[in-house]
This record gives sequence, structure tokens and C-alpha cells, in this order.
Amino acid sequence: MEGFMNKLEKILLPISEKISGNKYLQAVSAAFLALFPVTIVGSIFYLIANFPIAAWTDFLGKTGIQPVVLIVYNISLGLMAIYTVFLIAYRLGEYNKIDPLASGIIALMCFFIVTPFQVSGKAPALVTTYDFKWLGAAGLFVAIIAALLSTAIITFVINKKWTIKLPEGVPPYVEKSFASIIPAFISVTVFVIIAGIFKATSFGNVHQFIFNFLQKPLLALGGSFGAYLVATILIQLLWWFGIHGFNVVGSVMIPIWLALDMQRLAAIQAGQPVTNFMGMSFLTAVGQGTFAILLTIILFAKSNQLKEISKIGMPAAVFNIGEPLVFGLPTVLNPIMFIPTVILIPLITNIFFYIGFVSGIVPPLTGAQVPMQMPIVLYGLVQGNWMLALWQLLSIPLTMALIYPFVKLYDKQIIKNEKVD
Amino acid sequence: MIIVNCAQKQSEVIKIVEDIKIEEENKFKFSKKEGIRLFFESTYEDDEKACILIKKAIKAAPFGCALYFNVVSMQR
Repeated sequence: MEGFMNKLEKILLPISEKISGNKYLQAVSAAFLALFPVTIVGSIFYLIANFPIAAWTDFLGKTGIQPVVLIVYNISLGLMAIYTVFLIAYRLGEYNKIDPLASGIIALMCFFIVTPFQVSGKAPALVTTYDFKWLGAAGLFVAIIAALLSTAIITFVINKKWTIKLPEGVPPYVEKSFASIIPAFISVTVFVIIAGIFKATSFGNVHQFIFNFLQKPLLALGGSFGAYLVATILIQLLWWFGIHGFNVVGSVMIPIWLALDMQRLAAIQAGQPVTNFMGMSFLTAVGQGTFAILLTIILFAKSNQLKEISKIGMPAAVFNIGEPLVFGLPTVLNPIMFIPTVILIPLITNIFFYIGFVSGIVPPLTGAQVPMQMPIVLYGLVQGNWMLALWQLLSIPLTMALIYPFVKLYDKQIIKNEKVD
Repeated sequence: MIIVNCAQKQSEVIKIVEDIKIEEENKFKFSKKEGIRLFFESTYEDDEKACILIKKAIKAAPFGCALYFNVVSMQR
């Protein structure tokens, strides 16, 4: 067993270090985490405007309040690509040790260059607008690519020292602004060429091309239940080894999961049917089973050590914070806890929730983002999804049944040691 | 006493924590290891701040983003 663990450790740790240490993936993942206030506030207002109580939505509709409340949704989740492009470029600028603000602004320019706008009305009252579609979920992948590419270009130009140098004594903010002019010019020129090339194709713009050939296939692949299960089990496996599973797997999967949620939210808002249930909200709705595991320990463990851990860990577990359990029990590198925490619980609980959604018993998640720390059951109620709350409630005894024999086995072992001590 | 819970890179983590300097002085000394728990004697008065400093120092290491760890203080 130890030899096998050592072998796995030698494989998993370097790969994890490589992935979580990759500055491009880090920039994307850090930007999406920084986006949470935008996605969560937007989601809350969406849920307020669409809370599934007919009297409430009728009242909002009749009084004209609903469109006002939905402004927040439209300028947050509806414009997600804009926030994304700025934040990714800002973070990558920080990692590349160049002016992050300039990186963000230049990336934003580049993104707008490749985003098609439309002209409507008649002269002289012509109206030029951007299509909201490409500024929201559908434009996410172009936002990611534009941010990474434009920042890579300006970093290259700055490192080559192709910048305007001002004499000494010039205030730093003036110097910074001038230093960004040539990198911005080169980066913008590249994006103008890209926009020109795609305008000449049947796609008409780069957004349509990326959406058809990258975003759609990637979301279909990453959004399948099989891929989701592999990702969640991998997260647990890495955690069991003492590697930050969410940081590593999330670097790759968060953009895909969030894009899936945003796509579903936009589809529901447009009255289209939901065909995919996966995403970040699925992950947070299922949770880690921390509360149920600690409840099992409280109810059935007899050793002093486990009793003490349950007391310390329970307040945090209510808010889905698992550290006291993970390091206190511990589940990390604990052979008894490998099967239940890495395989049984994530596999069975995720299948349980998936069946709920696929069968239609549980209405689909809207894609609205609710913080991970929201206690289970309350999570479902906040989503306005009563059946989800019930499903979460049912998942507690299910998880308890799965962990029970392993808790008893571990408890017996500890009692034996406590007697010896 | 400060405890760093981490399963991987334990010797590197010990070195990082022992190398932390506050006001030109090393404030943390590794005392013992119990499985995934690394115990450090601390001469720094504020345990809460010490935990934050240690967490930041480990996070700043090349493997910091990949490592799953936590830092807690034991009551004096």
C-alpha cells in the first residue's frame, strides 16, 4: 500500500504543481474567483426577480419592478465576458510583472475590436450597438483568449524594451501611461488583423468561429456527467493526498463549469429548455458531505478523539467548511477514509443528484450562483428550488449510511489506541 | 505552539516556516512531527498573526498553490 501511495505521490504532485503553477491557468482561475461577487450578486437579483411564487412574480410584473431588478442581472451575468477579459489580463499582468491596469485596459480594447457590433435605425438617427450575446456567456472563451493573447503580446513588447522612454523627473504615472502606448498599439494591430481576417470568412467574426469550434465542443465534453464525475473524484483523490484538488482541477474546469451555468441561465431567461445539468452550481449543490460525516461521528463515535473533532468541526461543517474534519479526523492520507471520501460518497451522491435532475423530479438548477458556504437545504431554498432542498436533505442520511461502517471501524481503532495510552 | 497540517512537502514546509523572519528574527522552531501535523514553537506574541504569516509564506512557495494545508495555533 505504501509503495503504491509513494508511486502515486510521485506522479500526482509534480502534475499538480505544474497545473496550479501555470501562470496562464492561474490567471484564468484567479480571475474567475474574483468574478464571484459579480456572479453571486447578479444571481441573487435574478433569483429575486424569478422566485417561483406566482403571487410574487405577478406583483413584480404588474408594478414594473421586475425589469428594474433584472438590470443587475443584465449588467453582471449578461456582461460577464467584459469583466472576465479585464480580470484575466489584470491577473496575468501581475504575474508577468507588468502594469496590470494597462494589461486589463488593452485586453478590453482588443476584445471589443473582435466583437461585432450592429448598426440599426435610419440616418441620421443611426444606432450602433454590441450584441449582448457575445458580451455574456457566449463570449467567454473569446474573452479568455483575448486577455491571454493581448497580455502575452504586451509582455513580449515590454520585455524587448520597445517602449517610449521619458526623461528622469517625469511622474511615474505619466511614465507608465507612455510606456504602454507601443505595446498597446502592437497588440491592438494584431487584433485588428484578426478581426479583418474573420470578417472575410463565412463566420463573419471570431466569436462565431470560437463558439462553433472551441466553446461548444469543449462545453459538450466538459459538461458531460462522465467528465464531471472524473473531475470531482480527481478533486477528492488529490485532497486525500494532501494536494489542493479544487485549485488544481478548478484551474481547468471552473471556466467550463461557469460557462455552462451562464449558458443555462441565459437559456432559461430566454424561455428555452434545459438540456445540460452540469456546472459550478451542480458542484456546490451536491457539496462534500462534510455535515453528514460529522453528524455520523457525533451520533455514533465513542472515542474521545472523534468526539472532540466533531465538537470543533461541526460549526464550520454547517457552512460546508471541511478543514477541521479533513485535518482533524484526518481524512488526508487516512487509508480507512480513502474508499468513502474519494470514491463512495462523491460517486453515489453525485449520481443521486443527477438522477433527481434527469428524471425531472428535481427542477433543473438555473445556473444562478449561490456561495459554497450556504448551508445545505437552505441552499435549495435560496435557489427557490424546494425539491432541491428536499434532495439535499435526503442526501444527509444517504451520506451517513455510506460513511457509517468506516467511521465505526476507525472509531474502534482509536478506542484501542486510547486504551493503550 | 503553531501546528501546520500538511501531508506533502513536509521538509520544505519546515524550512519555509523556520526561515520566516519577523523584525530580523526567526520566531518559529520546528519541534515535532505527528503524521500530517508539524509542530512549531513560537516566540511571536500574536498567534493569529503568526498563522497568517506562515500561511502566506507557504502559499508563496512554488508548490504553494498545489499544497492542501492549514495552519492553526494551540492555546498557550
